Amino acid sequence: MSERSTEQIRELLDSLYRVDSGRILATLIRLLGDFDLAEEAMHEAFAAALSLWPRSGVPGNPRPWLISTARFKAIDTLRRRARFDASQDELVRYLEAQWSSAESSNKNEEDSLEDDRLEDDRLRLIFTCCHPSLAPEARVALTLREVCGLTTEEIAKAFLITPRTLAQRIVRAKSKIRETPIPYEVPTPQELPERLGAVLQVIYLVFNEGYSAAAGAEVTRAELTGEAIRLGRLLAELWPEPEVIGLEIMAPEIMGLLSLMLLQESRHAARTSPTGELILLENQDRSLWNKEQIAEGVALLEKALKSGRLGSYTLQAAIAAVHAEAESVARTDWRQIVALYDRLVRIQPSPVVQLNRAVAIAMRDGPEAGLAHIDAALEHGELANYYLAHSARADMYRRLGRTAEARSSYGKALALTQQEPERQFLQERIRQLK
Amino acid sequence: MISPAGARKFACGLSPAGKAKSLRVQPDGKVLVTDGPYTETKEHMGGFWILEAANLDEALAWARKGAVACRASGEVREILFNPDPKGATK
Repeated sequence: MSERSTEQIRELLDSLYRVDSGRILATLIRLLGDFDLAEEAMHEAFAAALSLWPRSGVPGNPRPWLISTARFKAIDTLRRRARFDASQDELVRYLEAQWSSAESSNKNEEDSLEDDRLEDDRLRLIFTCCHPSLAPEARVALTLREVCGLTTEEIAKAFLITPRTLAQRIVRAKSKIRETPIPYEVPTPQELPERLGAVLQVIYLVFNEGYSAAAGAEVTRAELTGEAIRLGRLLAELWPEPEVIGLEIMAPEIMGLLSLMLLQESRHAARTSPTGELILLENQDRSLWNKEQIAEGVALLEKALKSGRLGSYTLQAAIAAVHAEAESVARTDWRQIVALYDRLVRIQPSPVVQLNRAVAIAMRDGPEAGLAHIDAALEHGELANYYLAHSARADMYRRLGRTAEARSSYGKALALTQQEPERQFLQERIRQLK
Repeated sequence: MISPAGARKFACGLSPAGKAKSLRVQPDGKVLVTDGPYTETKEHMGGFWILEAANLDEALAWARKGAVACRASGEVREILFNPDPKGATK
């Protein structure tokens, strides 16, 4: 072990934190059975490393050292609490017993990451944070916090809520996990389809949040797409080989989602002008599209398509690929897009899908046809408050020269967009006054 | 006072309202109507046109309303309906 300066140790620890803190935290949550205790213990362990390693040298295997130290710290913390709260005594004894039995069986941290598929603690963490019995907003908040390591402030800012609201949301989610209790486990093969669906949904929601807030977006919102992609990659990386029975059904959708995200993200640089205005597809400088992301997205899509199972994310990715590989809007293969939407709407008959299909139909067959389909989609009622439905309608009227109707639809769309930002603006003002 | 970035975000109508709170996952987890990163409505059409249409037909009327409206919400409207500095010509 070489002696190093404090500065070098700090750099090393920064790097270790960046690379390993997710994994360390996930393992500590399993060992300690508590999110907050694990987080606190991890930070204390890193702090201890910073003060001890300059003198004692960097351990050959830093991760087990950190985990071990964190456990020590956690037990210390609990002992301190036990002085005031006798119920903590039992927890302390449990943890100590668990620890010494692990020691005596000569198990080290690395070993516990073998045998079974899905044993990785990070998967446990993701599945727990995305548990279906938590509300979607709670899952998203918890995942961004515990898996992605975003701060409460960063997440709050990204979702345009106050840090306090977000913090409460996370506290409630953790309580729910504790009280249900939601076990810190990877789902059984039987549970997997629904559970994986919940995870993919969280990643999709996070990505959508970042993607949809394109124009004049706060930097944090744009970073959400990056976080979603990172999560998608993590999931793909941790997912076991498809030889495991039953899992081959799901892996394609993981690839499909990652493909979709990469393809949609590839246009990021071209979507916003330097002054923050949104640049529509037909006006985007396609030389700014990220070719690496497109290539990777297409490769993943092709892998997903090979499975023969066309799930919702894979189909959306296929549509995204048609856009990504087109030379221009005019030369985009709208026929193929409509055909893909035809399939998508069969497995996911959502009015939003119907709406987007209607826009594609308009491109293929003209605005009259598009209008008919938009009206049909609006008939269901769920899209009444969806401003994009009205703006799509308005655009059809505009193309048809029906200006009065266009204005009316734009008015509806505008009224809907005003509500939310205005409400948030006022809420913020009121908050500032307090 | 809204920051320039904040104003533009509102102006382009692509701020949180785009998520349309009615489009949520149902309590039983079933996805009925979910918003998503669809190119057709969000990049091909987008909310961009909304502002242009409003500017074209109603800029003057709204600007007047905005000036009269109270400070808080008035500021939002004022920024929303300020004519495009380049001059709206569509």
